[in-house]
Amino acid sequence: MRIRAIAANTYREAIRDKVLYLLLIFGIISIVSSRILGYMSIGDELKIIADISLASISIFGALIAVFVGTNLVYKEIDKRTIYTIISRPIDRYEFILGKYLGLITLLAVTTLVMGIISALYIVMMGGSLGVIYFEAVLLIYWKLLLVTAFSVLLSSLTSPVLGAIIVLSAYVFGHGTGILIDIPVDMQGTYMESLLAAIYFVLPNLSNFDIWKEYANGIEISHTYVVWNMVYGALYTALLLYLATLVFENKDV
Amino acid sequence: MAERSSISNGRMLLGKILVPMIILVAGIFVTGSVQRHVDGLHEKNTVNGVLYLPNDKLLKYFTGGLSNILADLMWYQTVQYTAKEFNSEDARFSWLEQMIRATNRLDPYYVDPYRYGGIFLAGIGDDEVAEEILQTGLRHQPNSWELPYELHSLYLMNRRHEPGAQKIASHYAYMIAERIDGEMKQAYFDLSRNLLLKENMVDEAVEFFTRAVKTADDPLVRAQAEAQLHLALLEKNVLVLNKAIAGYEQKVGREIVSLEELVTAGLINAIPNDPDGGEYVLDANRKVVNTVLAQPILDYILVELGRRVHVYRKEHGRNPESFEAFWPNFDEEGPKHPVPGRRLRYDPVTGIVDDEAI
Repeated sequence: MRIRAIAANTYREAIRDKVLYLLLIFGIISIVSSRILGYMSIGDELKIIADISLASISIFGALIAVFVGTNLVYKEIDKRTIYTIISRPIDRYEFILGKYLGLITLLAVTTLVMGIISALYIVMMGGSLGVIYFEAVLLIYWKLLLVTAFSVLLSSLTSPVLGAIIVLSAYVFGHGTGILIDIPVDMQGTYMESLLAAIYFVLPNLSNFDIWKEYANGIEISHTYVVWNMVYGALYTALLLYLATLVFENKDV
Repeated sequence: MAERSSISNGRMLLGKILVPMIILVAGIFVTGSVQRHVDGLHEKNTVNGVLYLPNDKLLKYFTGGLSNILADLMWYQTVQYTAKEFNSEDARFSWLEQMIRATNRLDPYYVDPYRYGGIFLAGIGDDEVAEEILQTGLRHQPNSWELPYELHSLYLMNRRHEPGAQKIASHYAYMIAERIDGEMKQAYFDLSRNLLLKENMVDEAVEFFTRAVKTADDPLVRAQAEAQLHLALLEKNVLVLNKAIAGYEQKVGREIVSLEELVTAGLINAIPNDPDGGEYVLDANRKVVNTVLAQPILDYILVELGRRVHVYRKEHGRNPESFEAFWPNFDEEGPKHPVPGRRLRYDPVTGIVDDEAI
């Protein structure tokens, strides 16, 4: 109940943030303008429209998660409003979870809005959606859940600017962890290979959630693959939220 | 008082809206002019801008999940580059292959760069690279019809003089047929068989379609492969019978009159039986014709004659009186019935062309 109250409050607060609308508008403009590149290129215009539309949902969703997320806890501490909350009979983990749930509700709304606009646009341009389109949007949202959890963790640790830089870097590197196992031939069989493989399995692999590339190219993806990626995302998110709770519980506020 | 307030409002409008608007428009105009000047000082080469990026392996992993978008942009650059080179006097296309490979490294499923890249490369005579790129695409997109189509065209055009080109083209024609629907499906199945038969590769055709029947997963494709195998077997029978006739005539020292003579002479056990009701008949040159194999030729002739009747009727407002009316010099150049013992028949009343036994 207390978590729900904090979540509702966080949602109300975040939805009033002008940055959110700015990012949302940019996202929608990107989706609608995707046809320009398709028009100028040779070949399947719809592929490019689908690519850019779904990439926009992913990128602008991530930006919302980062810029709003890294502010969540820090802002409460900075403005000292945190004291009015933690002086009440409320556990600190409830506060973190409430903040997190509020933001992911907001992300659900923005992803849904961009997802619907993108779907309508693809259909209007003569494309087809299929189940894989909705799975692709769902996995983008699942990725945002993980990114948001990381943002909340950083928000409990550091300033919003530094937090945003770290989360954005992690976002880029999280999509490129595949390079750790795609090593040159002369490194194969060395201790370095095992070390890099170990790092690969420890770091979050965000490219798991990018099945929109397969959708755009008409490649089939099994539902099992989608479900297992959701399990992976949920576990990693839970871990990050646990860490955020630990940090906040030990924070001297 | 009211007048003063109106003046004050006017000043506010001027100060808060008009002046900033004018400054903005003027600013955009000035920056636009400066940009134009800068463009004049330094010729932009956007293609090279992309080429100087680090290698595509690194690019793929550090795009923040946007490797597809980068592939789209890279492909756009490749198209621009190709067009620019094509229009230049010294067209060398030095970067084309690298750009196509980089694009597909970023998005291995992207069919267009494989396809059009293959076309561009084949167009400049780089057939081997074109084939390799198309084959790579086929490995990533095994259900695409476009890639076998381009490979098929490559072997029918650029590489047609190479040994076995027809056989390879036939193989790709079959792949196209497997992957498409509609009227062209049948046409590509036929083409794959005819390409082999054109080179007298009857045994290869039988072997190819026997394998196709065994490996086809789709019931429709299997049925088509069975039909093609049946036709290839008929072709093989015609070939065997023609060889037997040559041997028979050499042995007995006279021309053969009927196919039964081959059985009597012990050169064949029996005249092959066609479960579809086709017959083997001798033509005027003592060559064997199978009526099932001749049917598509007859169909084509009937359609063509029907078209000519239609054109005649449109021009003259009535049906032609005879063959000669819509096919001048019919006896000399007109089509012959492909099956011995039958002939074409025209009915001037209905304007219908069909065939009948002689």
